[in-house]
Amino acid sequence: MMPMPVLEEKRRAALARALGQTLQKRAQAVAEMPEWEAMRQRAHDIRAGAMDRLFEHLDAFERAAAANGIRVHHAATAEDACQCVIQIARRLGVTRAVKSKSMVTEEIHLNHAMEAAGIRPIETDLGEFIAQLKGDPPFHLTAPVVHLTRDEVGKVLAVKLGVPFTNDPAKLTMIAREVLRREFLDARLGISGANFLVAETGSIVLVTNEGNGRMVTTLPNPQGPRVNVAITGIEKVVPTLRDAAHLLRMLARSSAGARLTAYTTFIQGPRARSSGEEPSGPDEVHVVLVDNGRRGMLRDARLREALFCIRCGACSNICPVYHRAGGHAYQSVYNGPIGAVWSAALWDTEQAAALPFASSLCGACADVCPVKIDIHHAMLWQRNLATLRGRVPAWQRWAWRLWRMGMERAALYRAGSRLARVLLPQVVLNRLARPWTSKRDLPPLAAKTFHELWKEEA
Amino acid sequence: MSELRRQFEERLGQLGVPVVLPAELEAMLTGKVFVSEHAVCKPWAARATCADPREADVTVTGCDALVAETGSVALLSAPVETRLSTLMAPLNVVVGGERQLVADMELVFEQFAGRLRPGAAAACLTFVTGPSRTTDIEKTLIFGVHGPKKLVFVFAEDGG
Amino acid sequence: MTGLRNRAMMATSSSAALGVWMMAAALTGAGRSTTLNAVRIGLFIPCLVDQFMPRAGLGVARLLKKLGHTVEYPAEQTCCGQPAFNSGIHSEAVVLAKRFVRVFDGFEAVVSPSGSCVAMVRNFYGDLLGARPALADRVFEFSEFLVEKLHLTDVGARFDGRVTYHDSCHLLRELRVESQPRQLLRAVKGLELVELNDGPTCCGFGGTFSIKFPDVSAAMAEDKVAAIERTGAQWVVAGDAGCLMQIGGMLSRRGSPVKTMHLAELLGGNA
Repeated sequence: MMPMPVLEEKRRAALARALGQTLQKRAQAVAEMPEWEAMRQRAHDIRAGAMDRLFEHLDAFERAAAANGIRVHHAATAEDACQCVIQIARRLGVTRAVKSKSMVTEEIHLNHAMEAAGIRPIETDLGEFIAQLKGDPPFHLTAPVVHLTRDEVGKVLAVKLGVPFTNDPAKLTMIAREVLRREFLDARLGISGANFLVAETGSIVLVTNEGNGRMVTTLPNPQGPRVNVAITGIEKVVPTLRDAAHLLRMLARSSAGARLTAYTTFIQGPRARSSGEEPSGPDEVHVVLVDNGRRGMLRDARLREALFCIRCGACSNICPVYHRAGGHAYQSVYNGPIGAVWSAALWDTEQAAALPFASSLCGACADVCPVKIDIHHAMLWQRNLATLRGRVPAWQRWAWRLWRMGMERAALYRAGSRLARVLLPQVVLNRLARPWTSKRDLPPLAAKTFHELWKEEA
Repeated sequence: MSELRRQFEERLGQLGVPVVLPAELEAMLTGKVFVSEHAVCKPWAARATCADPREADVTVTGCDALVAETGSVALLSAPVETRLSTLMAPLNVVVGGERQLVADMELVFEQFAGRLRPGAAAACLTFVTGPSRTTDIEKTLIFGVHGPKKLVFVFAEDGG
Repeated sequence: MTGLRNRAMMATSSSAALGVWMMAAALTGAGRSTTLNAVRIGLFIPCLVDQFMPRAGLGVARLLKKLGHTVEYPAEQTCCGQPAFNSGIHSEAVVLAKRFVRVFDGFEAVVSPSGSCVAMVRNFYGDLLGARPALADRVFEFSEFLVEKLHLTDVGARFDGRVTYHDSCHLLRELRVESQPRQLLRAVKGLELVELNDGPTCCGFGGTFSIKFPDVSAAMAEDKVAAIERTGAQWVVAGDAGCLMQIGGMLSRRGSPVKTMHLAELLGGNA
């Protein structure tokens, strides 16, 4: 089993404060909607409907997008998706690209692939920008450096950008603005994710509070052909604009406690060139639809719900395990409760298979999920999958078998519990229960079991 | 004041977007001023000192719809350019008309169904809800990380 | 279930007065109505209660008997299979689930002082066995049974002290039992109930989670214990033995004067 250390006390407290603040804003935004439960159900139903006929919706999206001049690419694997982007960059002849925050690009390790191909990806979401400078993977689905203090951010910028040290968040933000504004004005390739794809209109929906998502998809560079590539999972499609509107509300309220994200953009194609030239916007828009294991999730009735996820991060914000261990402890791009489910579903590795066990199954995640994913129940199912796939060591399976055989015979169970009382003094019990007693005391066995007391009472 | 307008103004207030009178705008138009071609911006056309929104300190732009539920301004990318003009400058003034108010995003989709239809779609439809902001550093709210640090709203005097 | 509900309603529906009468009747051993006796309750005492806090089991038994019900403890019972199920060993859990259904199927109602084990039967047997057994609807957690089925909140108990109640996750989120234990506690004479106000957040037990991830589990327990201590309560009460072992184990390690007690023991231990 993977080790999962606890964050040091100071960082734990800071993380708890930050996550708590976001949760509190969410609670206020939810309290404002008396019909929140019905809204969650509607969101769930929209996503369920989208997944029930996923490939029909994807076909519809592709037809509509193509009619608007968007080029749609299909990537079965992470490798395919990265190659697709690299080819577009090479054809365009660029050696750098501006990127807005996208978990799918993290999933496929696009930055690494681009760098290997000699193209520099520049993260432009402030959090991602800091994480990229520091060389860290994102700590949280929506807040990549939520674990860093202002001093730590200040040090990263001072060291990596050669600017004088400051720990003032406003000044740090303005430093990033300046550096990244130059990149935006210079870039000809913009890479974004997509929060939703709308089947009926072929729209790519992108939300951004900072505005970098708009920069990356508008490409303010006055010169040269400009290209926007949106990379996203096949599960992001929703049937209609109305569906998207509902989910956008749920997303904004759940992730940040806002009524709507600052910028919500429906991208429908390259800038118009026939009916009066549009002065801004990309000359080409591409969408890369990434599978990378999602079809497998779709086929498993108990994991399909995980595809409903709209990446709001609320489950991480409330998760008591995430609070103590932090995002990096999961050692996976997708962390927190839904991240554990996704990781184990996408990657057949020992590390990923261990993640669904890293939960007390408290279910707080499912209660805050805006699309009502039974996150902890999915983890329960994945634990069984781990057994079926041989990820549970043979000695453990044998131990469980012996345990079951004992439990099948009441007499054996009772004899065992009597024997334990005679043969196992507390000191021995404490030694046997080492992982438990290293941190807590083990209460003593009762002098008499209920079974014995019951007989006495009768 | 209509209920929609009351709600819209309340939302703007919560987002830190002041609603100013046309006369009050004058004082804000300092530095390089860009004024968009929207008809509602005509009163300020003479104040323009900059033709490129990329270089402007202040941009004055019109919009295509106003959403009361969220305090959002809806912008189509054409026929008048709205992408750069609402994104690049530190101060963005949006001029809108009371007649442009709708209750929610769904009604914007209905109104602009023709501009969203595959094959005839505008390149881009954006809902702007408050200024550019981030909470990435210790959850401290900072405005103007990439887009406008300040957003100001003006109701056009003729009702738009 | 309708039978049980109707009889329970007939017997106890309208008022606390009726409850008082029933208790008086039960105490004197006279006037036991056939209606009440007709409810044959099977006691489901999970392993942790059996081994570590048997007085919680006695609390349930004594209270239900006092209310005039026929309470039986099928000695054949062992484990519902939850530990194996939660560990992903469905092949072993399913054997015990089938066994559990065999042992308890004859009862009109099965009552247990464990939210966790009741949730296992009610919420997960269907998935585990391929079809939800009818028994799943007749298995109740003790506090939910008292309040929802017997419509009783005052069980006539007395307990002097300041008490806080810990929501076990399975009670709270699997069974949606939240107000019932509080109603029961508030009616206890001499008891002052103070709210924990920590979320409610998990104590970090989580079965084998507490052993597989001891550091995270203990960190959760530490925060839970700190929240308990902030309330100034002398006792922390819960409806699941696992939580009480986790919380009690951490209280004890930290040398805290706060003590743990199972809800069923508090309500019925001296009945």
